[in-house]
Amino acid sequence: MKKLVPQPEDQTRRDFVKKVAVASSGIMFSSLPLSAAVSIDGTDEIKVALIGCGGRGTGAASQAINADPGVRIVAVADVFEDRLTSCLNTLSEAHANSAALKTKPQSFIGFDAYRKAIDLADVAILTTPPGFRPAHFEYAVEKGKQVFMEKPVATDVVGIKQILKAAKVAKQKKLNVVVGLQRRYQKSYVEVEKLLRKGKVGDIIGGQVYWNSDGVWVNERQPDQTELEYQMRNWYYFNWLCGDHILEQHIHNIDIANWFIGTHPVLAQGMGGREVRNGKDHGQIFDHHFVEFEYPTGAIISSQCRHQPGCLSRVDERFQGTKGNVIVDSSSKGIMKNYKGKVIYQHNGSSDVNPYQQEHNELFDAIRKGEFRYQDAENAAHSSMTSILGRMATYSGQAITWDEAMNSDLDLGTNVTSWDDPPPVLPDTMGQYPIAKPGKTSFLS
Amino acid sequence: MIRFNLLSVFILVLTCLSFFDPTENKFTSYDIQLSGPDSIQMQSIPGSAHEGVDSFWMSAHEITWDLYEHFLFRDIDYAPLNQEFGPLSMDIDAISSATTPYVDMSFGMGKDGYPVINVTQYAASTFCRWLTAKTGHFYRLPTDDEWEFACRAGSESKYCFGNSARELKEYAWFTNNANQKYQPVGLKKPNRYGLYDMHGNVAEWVVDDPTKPNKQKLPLYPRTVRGGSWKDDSKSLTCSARTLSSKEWKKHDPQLPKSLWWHTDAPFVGFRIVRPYQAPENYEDWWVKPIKDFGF
Repeated sequence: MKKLVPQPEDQTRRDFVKKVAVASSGIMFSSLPLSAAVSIDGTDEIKVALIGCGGRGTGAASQAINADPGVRIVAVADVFEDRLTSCLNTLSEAHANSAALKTKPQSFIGFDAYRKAIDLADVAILTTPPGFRPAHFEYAVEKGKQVFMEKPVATDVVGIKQILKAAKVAKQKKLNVVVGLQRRYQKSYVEVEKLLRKGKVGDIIGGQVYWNSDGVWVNERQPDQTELEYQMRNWYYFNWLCGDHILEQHIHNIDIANWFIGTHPVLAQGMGGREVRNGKDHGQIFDHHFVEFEYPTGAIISSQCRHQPGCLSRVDERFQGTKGNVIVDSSSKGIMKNYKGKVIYQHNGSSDVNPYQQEHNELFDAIRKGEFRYQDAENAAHSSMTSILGRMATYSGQAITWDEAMNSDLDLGTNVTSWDDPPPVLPDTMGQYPIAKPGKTSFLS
Repeated sequence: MIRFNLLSVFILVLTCLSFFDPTENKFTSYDIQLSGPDSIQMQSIPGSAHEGVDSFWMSAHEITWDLYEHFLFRDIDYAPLNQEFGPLSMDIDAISSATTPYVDMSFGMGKDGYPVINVTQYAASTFCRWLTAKTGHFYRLPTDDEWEFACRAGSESKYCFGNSARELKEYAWFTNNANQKYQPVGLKKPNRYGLYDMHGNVAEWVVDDPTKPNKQKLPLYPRTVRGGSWKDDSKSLTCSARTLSSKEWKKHDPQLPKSLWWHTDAPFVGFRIVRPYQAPENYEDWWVKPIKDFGF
C-alpha cells in the first residue's frame, strides 16, 4: 500500500528541489517565472496551494505549515470571497511569525480558481466539498503536483473512476498522495492493523462499524442567494456536493473495515430513510442508513450511521476474528481480546501525535526527502465507492453488487463550472428536493 | 473608591449572614424547572465572612447532557417557564449558540443522566448565560474559592468526609471504580451541602473572579478544573487539587481556528453552575469571553 522508493543516500536538498521541479510538468517551467518554479540558490521552500478555504482547509494549511519549516502558502482558492478572506486572516493570525506567509499568498476566486492556484505550487491541498474533488485531483496530478486531499474523494461513480484513473498517473509520476482518512495515520489504528496482519485474532469474519451521532451544521437559505449559491453554502445536504453522510462522514469507519480486511466488499444491501431530519433546510440526504457489506472473504460488516439527536451516540469500529476480537475508535482506543476475554493488546495513546498533524508530517517528510511513499488515492476511492455502494443500497432497497455499481456510471452532475450553470438538482414548488424512496428509486440515483 | 467597595462588600456579607438562619425561607434550596422532567436542583450554600465567600446556590449535580442539549439545540428558548421569571431581562436571541459537533462528543459513554463533557470553559459559561436569559436569574460558573468551599462543606481534610482514600469510593467515581468511563450523576453519597460528585466523575470548570486584579485578560490556556475525574487516581480528587487545561485538550480538532465550544480530548471535563445570593451589578463581566484558538 505504502511503497517506499529509496533514494540515493547522497541526495542533497538541492537535488530534492530539482527533483520536485522535474516531477512538475513542463508547463510550469514555461509559464512561470523561474523563482516560482524552483529555488536555484539552494533554499528549500515547498510551495503549497490551498483549494477550498473552509475551516477544514484552513486547518490543513496550518498543519502543512507546522509540518515543515520550508512550507510557503503561495496561493489560495475558493468560490466564496468571504471564506477565502477569513481563511487568510486566520492563517496570518495563527502563524504570525512564520515564513510560510511572509509573502502574501495569491488569491483566486471562482470555479476555475483551483487551476490558477495549483499552477503556482509544488503541493496542492484539496479541501472543497467532495463533489469537486475528482476534477481538482485530476488537474493537480496532470500538473505533476503532490497532493493532500480530504475524504471522500468523489460523490458519484464517474467521479470515482476519474480519481482511479488519476491515481494511476500519480503513481507513474511518483507523486505522493495523502488522503485525510486520518485513522490510517493514527498510531492506535496503525498498531492494531499490524497485529491483525500477524494473525493475533485470526481472520476477520465479521464486524460492526458505527457513526451514530447528532448530525452536523445547517446553513439556512439567505434572501439574496441564488439556488446554486444556497446549495454550495449548505452543501452537506446535497448529494452532488456531499454524497450523504454515509459517504461524507461514515466513510471513516467503512474505510477501517476495508483496511483491516484488506479489500473492498462485493455486495451491499440495506435500509435507510429521513425520519427526524427532514425539513426544507435538509436538502436530499437521509438521516439514517444501515448496510450489510459482504466481502470476497465471506466476512460481513454491518454499517450503521445515524444523524438523530437524542439517540444512542456511538462512533467506533469492531471486528470479530476467528481467534479473537478487536475494538478501535478515534480517541485512540485499540483493544484486542481472545474469546476467553484475555486482553491481547491494549493501546495507550495518551502521548500519540494528533493524526491530522501526523498525516501532514509524513507527507511533507516524504516530499522533503524526495521520496515516493504515499499513494492513498486508490484506497480512498475504493472506500468512497464502498460508501456510495451502501447509499445505492439504502436508496433503492435492493442488493447491489460492486460490479453493477461500478458499471452504472452514476453521474450526479458535479461538473458545475460557473455561477450561471443550473444546479444539478432543483426544489419543487413546495421547496422540496428530490429524495430517494426505497422500493421506487433506482440505485442509479 | 476601593475602600468604599470593600466596605460595601463587608456590609453585603453581613446582610447575607442574616440569611444563614436555616429557618429563614428566603435562602433555601430550589429547583430550576427547565423543561418537562429536566430540572436543576440548586443547593443553598451559606457563605463565610471568615473564608471570604459570599452565600450562593450551587447545582447539586454536574450538568448533564439532557440539560446541556437544550442549550445546544435551542429547543426551549421560547417555551413557557413553569416558575416565576427573575429580575434580569436579556434577549435570549442575542446569545451565541454552540456549534453542533462533527464527532460524537460523549465518546459513546452515554448521555441520558450522564454529565456533559468535552465542553470548553467558554461553552460552559455560555450555558450559564443562556440559563440566565431563560430564567431571569444570574447563573455563572463557580469561582475557584466557591468551588473549594462547596466541596469541603466544612471539612478541613483532604476530602469532604475525611482523609481516608479508602472511603473515597463511596463518594466518587475515579480510576479505581469507574470502569474507564464517566457514570450517571448522583449515584454516590453527597457531601454535607447535598452536592454529589464533587470528587470525581468529571472534573469541573471554575472561573476566576473578574473583580480581582488582573483577572480580565487571562490567556486561553491554562485554565482550571476542579475535583478530578473518572480517569484520575485518589490524589487528583482532593478538595484542594487542581487540573490545568492545555491546548492538548483540542488535539483532535482538525479545523482552524479550533472550536470555541468543544474540546476533542477532554472527555473528563464537565461543569456545574452557581447562582450568587446577590447578583452583582456588572454581572456580564462574569461570563467567559471567547478567545480564538489557534492551537498554541
